[in-house]
Formats: sequence, structure tokens, C-alpha cells
Amino acid sequence: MVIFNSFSVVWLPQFKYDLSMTNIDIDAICELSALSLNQDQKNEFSKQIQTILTYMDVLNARPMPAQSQHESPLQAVAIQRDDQPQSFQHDLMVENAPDYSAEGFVVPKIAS
Amino acid sequence: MTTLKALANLIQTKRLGCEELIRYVLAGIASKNNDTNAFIESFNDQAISIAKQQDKAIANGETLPPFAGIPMAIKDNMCLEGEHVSCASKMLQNYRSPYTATAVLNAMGHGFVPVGRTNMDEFAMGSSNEHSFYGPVSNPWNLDAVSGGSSGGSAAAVASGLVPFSLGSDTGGSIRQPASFCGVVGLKPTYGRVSRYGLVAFASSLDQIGPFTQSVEDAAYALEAICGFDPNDSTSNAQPLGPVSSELNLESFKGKRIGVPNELMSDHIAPDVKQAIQAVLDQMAALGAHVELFDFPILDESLATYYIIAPAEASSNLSRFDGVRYGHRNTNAATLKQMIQTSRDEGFGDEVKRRIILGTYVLSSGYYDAYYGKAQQMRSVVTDTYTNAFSAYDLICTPTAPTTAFKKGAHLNDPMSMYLSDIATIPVNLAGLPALSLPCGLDANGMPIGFQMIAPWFQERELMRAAHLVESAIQFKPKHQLNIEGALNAV
Repeated sequence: MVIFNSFSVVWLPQFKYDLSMTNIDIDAICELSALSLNQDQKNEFSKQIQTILTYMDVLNARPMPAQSQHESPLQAVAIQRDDQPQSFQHDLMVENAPDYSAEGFVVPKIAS
Repeated sequence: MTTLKALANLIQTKRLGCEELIRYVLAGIASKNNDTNAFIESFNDQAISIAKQQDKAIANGETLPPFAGIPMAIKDNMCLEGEHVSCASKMLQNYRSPYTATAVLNAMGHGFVPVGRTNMDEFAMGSSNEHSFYGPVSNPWNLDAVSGGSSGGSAAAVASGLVPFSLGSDTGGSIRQPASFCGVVGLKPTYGRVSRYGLVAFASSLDQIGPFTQSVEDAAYALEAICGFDPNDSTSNAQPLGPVSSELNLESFKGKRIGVPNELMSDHIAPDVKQAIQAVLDQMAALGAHVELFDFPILDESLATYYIIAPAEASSNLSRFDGVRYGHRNTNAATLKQMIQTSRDEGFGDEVKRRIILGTYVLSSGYYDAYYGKAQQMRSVVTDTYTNAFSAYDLICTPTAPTTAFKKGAHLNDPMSMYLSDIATIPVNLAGLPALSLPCGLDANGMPIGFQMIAPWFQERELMRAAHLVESAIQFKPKHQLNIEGALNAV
């Protein structure tokens, strides 16, 4: 579908695939994201993300070749680096380690 | 045109002092920035101090780097020691860089003087520069239109003639799309060509730093200045760039094969844009190129892949902003967990939160294989598609964006339609290829149109040689440029 207006044209895809909307447990995702959203934000984001995820389903409609997943853009053409990674010295690591008490690392007090 | 070479010549022949030029540029930013909001802050003290040192060195007869005294702007996600870097976010509003990014340091090593940090979409997430804590950036060609994003401030700073060169970062088109919207040259180098050390990470496997300039020759100088292997970036690549700026004298496209994806010359592209791109392709053919349409049936899939991978990486990268280690902290929270959640809620804007939530979702248990795993597989397909295309063509050419700059607010509440404005640029980032946007004409409303040229991995030299020839054939006129006469008269 192509939408023209007086200033510009916006390309919207044709949803040519049989899509199933994903029900998002927005509370669980907010918890994992360490975000505290109000209910209005949750409703808005949930709706928008469902629209985005619907678009993502174009991937499920496409048969993928049996090949390894690709994590680096230059995996196919990367030139091996010739520098050697250097490990830190143990003494330096210990020197820079945070203070430790019986319960775990000691961090500055941040809440009363 | 005010080129980097012309400015450098004025400094080297002592017609203009470094401090004089820097003060002139800083005064221009102070008086004109309200028009576009391109700059968040200027680095007056540091810039003048560097320029004074350069003038002193010149007076002492020392040999200075080639671009001593030439001002540059940096996007607000690159570190410059002692100066603020906020990613246009409340989260990092008061954060100061403890060190300088390698790309910035390299440019300074060539004599460039950072004069300020430019506005951007928060944490580089956006395509219109409307998602900034410091307000939107206006397009210098029409102040009611967006500048594009996320490096909208860097593009507008060059397009409005405030600086001759700026740095931006490109994760899914964030250099090329605003370059297209603002009528300037924007270059995204091959992934690994320019160090990411000191660039605040958005999506680490996609981010790449590059320049905005008014001409291809200036972009070549800028690229030569910023690139190079860096042991501080594990993805930095040692492939040599070779001379670029001195090798731009391509005389024809004889023997060159140019591929044009059918899907990006379809009815989905605005008629004015399509017409301007066709005119450039005709000129390339007249210069000897064999121009051919080919099928590139992975655009929808590329967009989907990008909007899985980029938010996934962003949700991980931005987990460090928790009010403890970095950034804004809510001091009224009763518990640690509440403090982290409320700090992030207050510190991040809506687009950033949306992408964190999306990224967390696609990485969460039960959905990882369905989304992230599929996206990584698709990324291989994108790379293979380009590899096949480059076995048939020397360059791939497309519109940079399906439209020209749109009005502010047009897509603000519809993220999916905003994401679609990156349809032509995103596949390039997934494959890590070098690409450039060149202004090639104006639409019926007088807004610039961008012509995107894509080259095989590490072939920036061939890319820029071709772009330089196209630029010479088009003769695009910038709306504004740095006024050299004004600088000389101010002395």
C-alpha cells in the first residue's frame, strides 16, 4: 500500500503472510528490562510492539538455508587480526577488584 | 564551494589563523544554532585552546598536520575527554567523557579541531531526530521538516554551513538517511574500517562511524583522517585503506557494471525520488557504465532482521545504565530494584524504552529461536545476496530513502512507518558494506534527494572515485556553506 500526502510518500508493506498476533506479557518483559512503566505506557508499547512483531513474521514465512547463524557482518570476509590478546596480571586484577564482605561485593549506599 | 582543502590552504598560507577561524565558527554556532538546533553544546574553551596551540606552533615554524585549525563537529555519542557526552539522553545529561574516542583522536591528529557536539536521536535510535532530550533538529532546507536521523544534528550542522565536516554514526542508515534529507555527502565505511572505541554502543555488530561533508573529496579527506586499525576495538580491521583523496580522478565509467535493485525503483519510491535517481543512472550510462536492474527480494526480511538484531543488542548494551554505574539516578526509591527501575524509566525516552522492551522480548526464553535465531540466519542470506550481486556488478546504486524529508511529527506516533524510512539503508549495515549518500537533486517541494552507492567490502576507494565522478556530472548546489569571505573579513 502506498500512501501519498502533500509532502512525502510513505512505504507501508503489504501483509501478504498469514500472521498470528503474539500476545506479549508486557509485565514480565518490563521486569526483565528493569523498567517500571505506568499502565498507559504499557498499553501503548504493547500495541506498538505487537504491530512490529507482526511485521517480523516475514522471517517465519521465508525458508532459511541450512547454514550457520551469522553474528558478525564481516564473518564471510574477515581478515584475521595478527595482534595477540593480552591477559591481565593476577596481581593487577586483585588490586582492582571491589571490596568483598561475607554477603558479596561492597557497593556505595544508594538508598536509605 | 568551501572545501577542506581551501580552508587548509588559507591556514597554511597564513591568510587566516587557526584561532580566528575557530572563533568565527563558534560565533556562527552561537548566533545561528537556534534555527536548526543542530548543536547541543559548543566546546569553546577546549577548541580555542587547541587553536591557540596550533597558531603558536605555526609561528614557531613547526610542521603541522594538514588540517590544522579546521573545525569539525562530533555526534553526541562520541567521547572527547573532559567534555559532556549525553547521547541526547536525560540518562547521561551530566556525564563527562573520561577519554577520547579513537576516531575523534585520529581526526585531531590530522589537525581537525572539535568545536561542539551535535544533536541526535536518543542513543542513536530514530530516523527523524525527533527523539532527542534536547528537542528536534530542523532541516536547513525547510525548518518545518525533519533533518533525518539519528545523526540529524551532524547532517544539519554541515548543511547549514556551520562546520565543513562532522562525524556521525550509522547503525541502520543514521549517516546516509540524514545526509539525503539535508543534501550533504554522508559516508558509512565498511564495518571495522573505523574504530568504535569511544563510541557509546547502540548495536555493536552494526554501528560504524563516518563523516558528513559538502563534497566527496572532503569525505575522502575525512575518511583518511579517522580510519585505521585500533587494538582497543576487537572488531577493528587492519585492511589498509590506501590513498583515496589523491585517486579521485576517475574519467569515465567505461567497463563498470552498475546494479540497481528492482524493488528500490518500484512504485514504493516517491515519484520525484525515482525520477531523480533514474536521471543519475542515465548520466552514469552516458559516462560509459552498463546499468542493469536486478532482483533483490530481501528488503522486507532485512528490515525485520534489523529490528530484531538492533534492539536485541541495544537491550544488552543499555543495561549498564542503571543509576549505579552510569547516568541519572532516582534518589527517592526505597529499594535497590526500585531505584534501578525508576532511574531507567525517568532517564530513557519512549523510543529507547520501546526498543529495550522489543530487544528483551526477542531474546527472552521461548522466543529466542523464533526471532533472534531466525534473524541471524537471515543475516547470512543478506550477506550472500550481496556477495552474489557483487560477482555481477562493481557497484549497487539505489535511492538513499524512499522519500525526501517529511514534516515534523508525521510519523512520531507510528514507529513502524518511521522504521520503513530506513528500508534502503538497513541491508547495507547487516552486511557491513561501505556506502555513501550523495545529493542528486531536489523534489517538487525543493527538498534534497539522496543517491546511495554501495561497494564491496573495503572498497571505499572505488566507491568514492565513482561518487566523485557522479558528483561532477550532477553539479548539485548546496543551500548553505561555511562562508570563507566572512571568516577573512572577520580577521
